[in-house]
Amino acid sequence: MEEIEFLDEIVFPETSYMAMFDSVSGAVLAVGPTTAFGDSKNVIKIDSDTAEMIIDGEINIFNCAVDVRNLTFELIEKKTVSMIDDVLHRIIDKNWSSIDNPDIYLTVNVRLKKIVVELTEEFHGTYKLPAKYQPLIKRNIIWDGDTVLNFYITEYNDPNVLYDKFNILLKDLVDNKITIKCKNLPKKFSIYTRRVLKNYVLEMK
Amino acid sequence: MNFGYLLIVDQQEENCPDYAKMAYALALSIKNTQKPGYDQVAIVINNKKYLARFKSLWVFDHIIEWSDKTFWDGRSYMDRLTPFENTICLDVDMIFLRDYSHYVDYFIENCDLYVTNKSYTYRGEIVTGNHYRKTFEKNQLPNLYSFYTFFKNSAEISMEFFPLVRNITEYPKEFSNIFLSEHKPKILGTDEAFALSAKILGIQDDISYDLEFPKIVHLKPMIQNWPWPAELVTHHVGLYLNKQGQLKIGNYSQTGIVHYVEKEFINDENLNVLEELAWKK
Repeated sequence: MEEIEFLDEIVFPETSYMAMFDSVSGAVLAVGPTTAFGDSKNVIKIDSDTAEMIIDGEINIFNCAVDVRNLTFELIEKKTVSMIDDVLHRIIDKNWSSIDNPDIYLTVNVRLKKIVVELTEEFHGTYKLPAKYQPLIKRNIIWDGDTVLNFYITEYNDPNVLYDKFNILLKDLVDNKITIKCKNLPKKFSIYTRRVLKNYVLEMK
Repeated sequence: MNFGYLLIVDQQEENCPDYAKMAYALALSIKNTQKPGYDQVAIVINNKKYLARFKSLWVFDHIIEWSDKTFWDGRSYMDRLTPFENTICLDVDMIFLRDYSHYVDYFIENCDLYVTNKSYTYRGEIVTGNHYRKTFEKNQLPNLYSFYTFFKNSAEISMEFFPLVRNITEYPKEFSNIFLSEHKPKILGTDEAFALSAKILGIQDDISYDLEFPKIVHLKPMIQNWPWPAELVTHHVGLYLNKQGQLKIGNYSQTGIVHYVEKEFINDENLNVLEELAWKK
């Protein structure tokens, strides 16, 4: 009886969880209570709800990754791209965008009707990220050779009116920038794309 | 004619929707599209400091600082707050896209108080879904939308209607327990308060009879007559505001007043489009 009363007074600490990840690819290798990882490197704290769902098999561990740059835990779900902003994503002008770490950067020279497309140096492209992201840990990603970036030049903020379009293979942007000459580039226009990567930014010159 | 649009804003600090910005955008769109005499705008705001950042405060013909009530409750005081004799009180998350002064002419000539009773999908269909209106259906309330309310200040019916709305807003639990027992709303909002006030006074047919206007596109996702459930309208269609201030939703050009609901629509770029149009006018 005394023993039971004693047990009632014990306050069990709340379990905290961590995920161990590959330092290069960000792939999550293991998830468990913090105590299980001891002094391991490349671990990140994750919330208990997510951890328990992974342990219970409700979330597939292969759909989890850590953004090694920002050290944030991310769930990557393989799903059909169905949201309109993914299917038809407007690339926001640098003047109006809050993105300072673009994955794809377009520089448009309206006078010369040229568009330069660059991939971020983080993915072994040529676009240099700002000083606050340096020194940069480059991510070793092997692109599917068939991954195509589609770009549509349209009426300003209206993808219903198409002026021109061009496609680029993502792998061609590795260590290389691509310049596109556009015949139909009106004074005011927008560029839309299928959102293969997360962040796109456009700069007008 | 003494007429104007009234916008009531209770701007909270960080992490809250920027209602002041939306009101500014709406005022710009009113100035850009309405005829002189039909484009007066008054804003009631809890603190004028929230307006100081905007470049063209002249779009507000009257700026009234008032903080007696918070959140939506202030809207039940619209009859006391308006500086106009004839007023249309609007929700701030709306945008005007063409001249609607003929609506105003009709209301001034024919109505003392008119509350909208229908809304439209972005494809121009009348909204029939009741996803957000279970309280109305179960309690047999008139289907009123407070987002566009015309009233004459001096009218007797306004003097009966608004004080009761204020009472309902002040004592939501009591009114819900007695009048909305079939389906109590989680929050008794302005729409419910208007509908209940009209029902109690028995004036729903006087203040909200069938009209083909105002045509207001309501962009809540579950009432777009889509064959799938939707969390946000912008998950499925884009909102495209061009340099002329014309709006397409998906591939549908909009001509009605658009109640965009998703606050992110008024970003700095779209605001700049509206400002440039106002400056050029």
